[in-house]
Amino acid sequence: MIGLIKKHLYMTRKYAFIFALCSLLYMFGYIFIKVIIFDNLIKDTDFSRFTLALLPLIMVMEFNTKALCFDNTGLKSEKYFNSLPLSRFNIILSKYIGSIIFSLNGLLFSCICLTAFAYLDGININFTPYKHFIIAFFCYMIMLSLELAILVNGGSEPLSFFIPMIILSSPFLIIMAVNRLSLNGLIEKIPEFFNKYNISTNEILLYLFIIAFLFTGISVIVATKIYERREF
Amino acid sequence: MNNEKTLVINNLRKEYKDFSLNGISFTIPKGTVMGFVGQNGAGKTTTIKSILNLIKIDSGEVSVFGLDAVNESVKIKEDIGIVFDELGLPDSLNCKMVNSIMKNIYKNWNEEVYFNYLKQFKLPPDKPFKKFSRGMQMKIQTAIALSHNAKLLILDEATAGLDPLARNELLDILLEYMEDEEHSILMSSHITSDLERVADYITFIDEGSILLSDEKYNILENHLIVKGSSKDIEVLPKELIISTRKNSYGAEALTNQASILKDSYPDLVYDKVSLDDILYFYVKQRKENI
Repeated sequence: MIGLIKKHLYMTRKYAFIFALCSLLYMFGYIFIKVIIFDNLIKDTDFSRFTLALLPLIMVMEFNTKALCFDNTGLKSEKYFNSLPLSRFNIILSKYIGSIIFSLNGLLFSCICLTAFAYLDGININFTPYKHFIIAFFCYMIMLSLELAILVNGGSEPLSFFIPMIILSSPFLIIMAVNRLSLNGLIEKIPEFFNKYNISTNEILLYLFIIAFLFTGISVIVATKIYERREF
Repeated sequence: MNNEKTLVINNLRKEYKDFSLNGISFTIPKGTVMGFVGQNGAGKTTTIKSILNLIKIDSGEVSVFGLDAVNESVKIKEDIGIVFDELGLPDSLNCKMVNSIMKNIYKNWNEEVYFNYLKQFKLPPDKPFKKFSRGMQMKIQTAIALSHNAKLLILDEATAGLDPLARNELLDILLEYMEDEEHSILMSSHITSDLERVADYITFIDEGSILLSDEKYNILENHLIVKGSSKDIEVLPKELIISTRKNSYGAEALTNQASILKDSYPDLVYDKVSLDDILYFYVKQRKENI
């Protein structure tokens, strides 16, 4: 399975540079908006930190799922790797592990950027801001587990761009529908939610970890069951 | 050659909406090359997919090295080298990356052998596969297939689309591989001249059914083309003839009982037969009988 994980990482490597460039642009954009233009509008709150942490991870999601989705070239890659001494469970699991490793790299990169950002902005760094990255990562894992279950079995490269967007926007659309909120209403509600509940508590961190772990486990099992029934 | 069987396929059935394998059976003795001949869509690739457990068979038995190809699939594939008609590796990878991947997949992966093949095939180690020609794509697959001490090599239309020089190079490599009597090859192709050069056994398949499976020597020995006027050919006993066709000089027929026919009709003209001719006449017979 290590061989397959290596293959996934080699494949995602080609997106790493674009990801780094996008992340840097995003970080500098963030600094520019916060420091130069609207210093008082975007406050150093839970919400702004969470957003800062999650957005680069969404970029990671875009790039790594492009490389890991179900073969988009007439099944020839799936056919070839299923002809090697590998179980189908290992093929699926390696895609998840490869994806998580690439995402962790994204997380690390985001943390480095945050440190640079905090240094430039004169914020005193302690553990708390990084907690938002870990929370964002667990949220990202939940989204990823939903996305990979679809992509490793039925996705294709052109679709891989839209699926993360659909998964990401679904919870917000559901909240809007249930609470009969407009987009502006939602935009106002989210910071309110973050102000009301302190998301950086250890308790929330633990719950999110358990949920992310369970989602990923179930996702691997479901994806394998579907993949085992496929013919190449 | 010995009595041990590398591959046994017995009454294999697989049904699709528009195609089915109709209980096909054949075996590959250890140390031999089996040529698997048929037109496009005859069922060659479906059979190979069954051996590799890429599809779920409806019934029948496929056993490789004496092990069940469905239940022991992963174990069996350790000793199988595979060359498909298209490169299945992602096109952003290169030969060096493949070494790093495969040494963690195959227990018997031999880096030294692999890099020797890269040198022999003149494959650039750092060039991504998207820049490889079709010949190079076949060669990298062959290098992988031969670098983990595979006992069975499966080639699915591997020579199709290669220029004559590249095809001959590939065949030379296969003959070199067969110097070890533990090795066997299943080579599917519709280019029968390649099989005439390397195969010990030939299996003909058409529309999911086996037309003929035997040693190449026996096939070429027992089959002859008999030529004459249309009248001469018409009077030949039906049980000695596979099928007939008209040509510019009269007619010709394929017989699978060459010695009997020669003794009975010594005045007719007899020509050696190619595998292409055999396939043609058997397919024609099959169509006439439908």
